[in-house]
Amino acid sequence: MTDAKAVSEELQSIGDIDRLIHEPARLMVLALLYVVESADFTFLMSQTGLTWGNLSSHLSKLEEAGYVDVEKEFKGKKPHTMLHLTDEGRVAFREYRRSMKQVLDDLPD
Amino acid sequence: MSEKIDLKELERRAFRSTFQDGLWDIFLGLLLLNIGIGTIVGGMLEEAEVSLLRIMLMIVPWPFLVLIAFWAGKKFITTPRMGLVKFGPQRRAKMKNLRAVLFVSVLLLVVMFFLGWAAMGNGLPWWVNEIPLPLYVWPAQTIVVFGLAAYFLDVPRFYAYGVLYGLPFPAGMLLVKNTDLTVLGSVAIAYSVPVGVMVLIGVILFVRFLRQYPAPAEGSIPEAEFHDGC
Repeated sequence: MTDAKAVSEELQSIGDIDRLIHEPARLMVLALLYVVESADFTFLMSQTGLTWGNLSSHLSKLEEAGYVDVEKEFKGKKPHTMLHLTDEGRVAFREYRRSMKQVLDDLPD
Repeated sequence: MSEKIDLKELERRAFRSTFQDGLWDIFLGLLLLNIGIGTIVGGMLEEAEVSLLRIMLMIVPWPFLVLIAFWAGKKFITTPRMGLVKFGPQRRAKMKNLRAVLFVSVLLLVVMFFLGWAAMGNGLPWWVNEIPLPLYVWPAQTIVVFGLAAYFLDVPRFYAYGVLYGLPFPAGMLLVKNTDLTVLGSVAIAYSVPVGVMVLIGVILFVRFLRQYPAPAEGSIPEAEFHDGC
């Protein structure tokens, strides 16, 4: 095996990292939803410091990917949204952690 | 980006954040104030030969009012700002254990306190008769109960609240015994310090919380817009 090919294979593991999760704001949201059962929009905003627009946009992407599920409910007359990770989202987050750990552990000092 | 995301710490921090609005501190401070006022007013009314039932009717409703104010504060002021969260099964199991442990501890506290009080001077060893039981039983038990709560909830300042809760009773007794203060004055001083500390901490946390989490503007309910966007 040539050196160039070996390097290419090494770099492949970095390329395999889930880019949807790798974005810092989405990673924050996923990490938070991973450790709780569910949370509403306001809680995610207050904990992550993201603005509504940002959070809404990231959640839409995560929902499209099937990582986050949205439970819509009404509290009195007010709409209320609780969000939780799907099983797919949990697996993807665990896999992302594993991949990142591996990539960073393998880096030379 | 750090390769380490400490998920346990993240969960702990998220959980602890629900205790950072200051309402628990104010609630616990006012509850202790109720005990103090109950002691003073109860003593005064007893001297004025008011019936026990009337005394109880005048004292008992106040803690419930404090509880209602705490509930209303959580529901209408802090939760709308911070949002709602449901924690996972492990945390829920921990909370269930805490409730069971606290229930047994408080029950033991009440039983031992009254048994100790009743047993004073009734043929017990000299060292029990020499030292008034409530002087050490009450503080020991409040420290244990609040210590358990602090441990299970991961809220370290509750350890100090155990001490503050245990302080007024023996402090009041010591002041009556060793100073020229009246019983009323001694009890008032003994309670006002710990109550003041807890309420002050609560108010500081509450103000900080209100600054950190402003109320969502009327008509801009993120959830509603997110619904439309999905």
